[in-house]
Amino acid sequence: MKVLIVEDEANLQGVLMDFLSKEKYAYDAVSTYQEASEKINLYNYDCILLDINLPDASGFKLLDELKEVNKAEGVIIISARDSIDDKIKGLNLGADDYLTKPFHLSELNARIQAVIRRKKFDAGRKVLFGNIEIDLLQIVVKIDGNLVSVTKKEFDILQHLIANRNIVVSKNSILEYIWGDYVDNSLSLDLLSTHLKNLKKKLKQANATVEIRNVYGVGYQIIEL
Amino acid sequence: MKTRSLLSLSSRNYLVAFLVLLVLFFWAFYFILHITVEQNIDEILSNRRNNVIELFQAKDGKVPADEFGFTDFRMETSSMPMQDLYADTLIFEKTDQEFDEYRKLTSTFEFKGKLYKLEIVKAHLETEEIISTIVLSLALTFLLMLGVFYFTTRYFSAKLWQPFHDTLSKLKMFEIEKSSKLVLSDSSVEEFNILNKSILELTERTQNAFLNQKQFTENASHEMQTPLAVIQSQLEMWIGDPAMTEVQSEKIRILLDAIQRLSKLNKTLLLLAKIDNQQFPDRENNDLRLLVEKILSYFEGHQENLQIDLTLNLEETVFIEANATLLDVLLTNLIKNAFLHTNKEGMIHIRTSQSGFEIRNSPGGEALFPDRLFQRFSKQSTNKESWGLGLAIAKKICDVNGWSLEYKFQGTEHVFIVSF
Repeated sequence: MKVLIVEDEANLQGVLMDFLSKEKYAYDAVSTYQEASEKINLYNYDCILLDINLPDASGFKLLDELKEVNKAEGVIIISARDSIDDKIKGLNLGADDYLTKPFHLSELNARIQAVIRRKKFDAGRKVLFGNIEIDLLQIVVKIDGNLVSVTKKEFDILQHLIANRNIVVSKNSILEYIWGDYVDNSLSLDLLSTHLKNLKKKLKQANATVEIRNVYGVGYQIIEL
Repeated sequence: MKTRSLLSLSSRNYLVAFLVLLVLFFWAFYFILHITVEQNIDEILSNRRNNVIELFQAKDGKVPADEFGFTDFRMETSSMPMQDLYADTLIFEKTDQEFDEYRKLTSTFEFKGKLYKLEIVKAHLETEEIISTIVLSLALTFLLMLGVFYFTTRYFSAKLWQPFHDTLSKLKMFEIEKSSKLVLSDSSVEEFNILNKSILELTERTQNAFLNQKQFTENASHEMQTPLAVIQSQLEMWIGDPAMTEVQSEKIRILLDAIQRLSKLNKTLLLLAKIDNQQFPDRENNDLRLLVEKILSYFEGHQENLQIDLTLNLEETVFIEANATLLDVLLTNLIKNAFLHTNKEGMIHIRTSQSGFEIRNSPGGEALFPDRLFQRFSKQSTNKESWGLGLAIAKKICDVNGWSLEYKFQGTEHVFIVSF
């Protein structure tokens, strides 16, 4: 799976490159519209991370160009502008997703996977990890083929952790993923621990071959045993 | 302080000054006239005396008779010579049965060794009447002129000051937040044109400063997003590093929390700036009940956790025309606020209807100060996670939609009411 990073901020580009290589993605990284345009004409990518504010042109121009050359790359716009107009414009021009800076790496990772899954059509409906099978459409969890009853929130947390398997996902990013801006973090911290305690118990009872680890109070990580 | 309009004040002052002057003038006028007339009468009396004496001497001591058969003098022998004396006197008039005012000259003269006293009178009546008539008719004319003057100045002043009042009313309507420019019409009065020009320059500068400041907040917040993204991503890369010790991880957690707070603050400021900059123009009909239920779904676990008694009284099919994002933020902030400030086993009650949204929660501490409640960065709780922006945003959203947001403290209940 190959990702193209189009980001002119060198430091952010660097972190993204580190993260993608750690997650075993192949990638190219460019910092101008010109370079990006050359790359998309030469190669095919599974996913493009596109910054809108590029020094030589707007990222929207690249979306136009992708349409022209009939390429169906999955595009995730990464923008500092938290603007609904930009979001709508980007999605209308064929982008698959829109992420506002600053974002959590786990969130980005989940979205990259979602984009790639969508490109592979139905194959992406189910996510497998260890002996766990998650059906994203029906919202069910099966362990060794047996249904495990989980609440909606537990499902969301498990699915997000599996999307970021082996990565330590910070508590903040889970809080944001589950409750967004609706609930104050201070209110939700306890609830998150409760949900994770229940989830761990359910996984253990069903003899799952995976385990959710609490990493020094910073975050959680799901690993295969 | 009681204030009056420039016009009524200036015309009133003119009027008073004019009346005082008028009284003084007529008082002086009357006396001057009176003295002049009196001198005149005295001169006539003096002439008459000379005349009578001349005739008396010419007729060799015989009292002269008047050609008209009317005598205005009395003559008798006197023992003592005296100075000429002019005096006012009253003489009974038989025909109209009253005393009339007369001027009398008493004089003595010698003829053939004998001393005579001569008294001559002249009626005051007609002169006094003439003076009165003159003074009165003049006064009336003046008063009439004054009246005409008063009303014409009022009329012309009103006309003259009209551009000024025009400017005033336009200034009153002018709102700095709106992008519409102030338009003032030209006047034929130079001072007003200068005034208008100065006002236009001033408002334009203020408006530009205001716009710049609004833009500045938005741009600054946007510019902060990328560096925040760099820091947050870099830190998140590290927490997964197996080489990290527990101590290091704890430090990174602290940094991540701080960055998270900073990002949220930045997002909130950006939201405020965007509401200020009217970047939420799209309006649609929002189902109030569905929206409240959606927001509450995020709080399901919290409600159980905190054992909050949540009661809902949501009217069906209430549609609110507003920007969906802003309405969502408004209700989220009020609901979030209630959950944050309700003690364990407390209660939250939400009621919606066509006319408004009401949320009450209890117990949650003392009454809040309503005047500071909706100000930015004014927080009345000890919650470190709070900046005191949530209610400021709620108020702002109500303001831009023309709704009212009210706070009441009833018993132990905090009540927030949005009236659509």
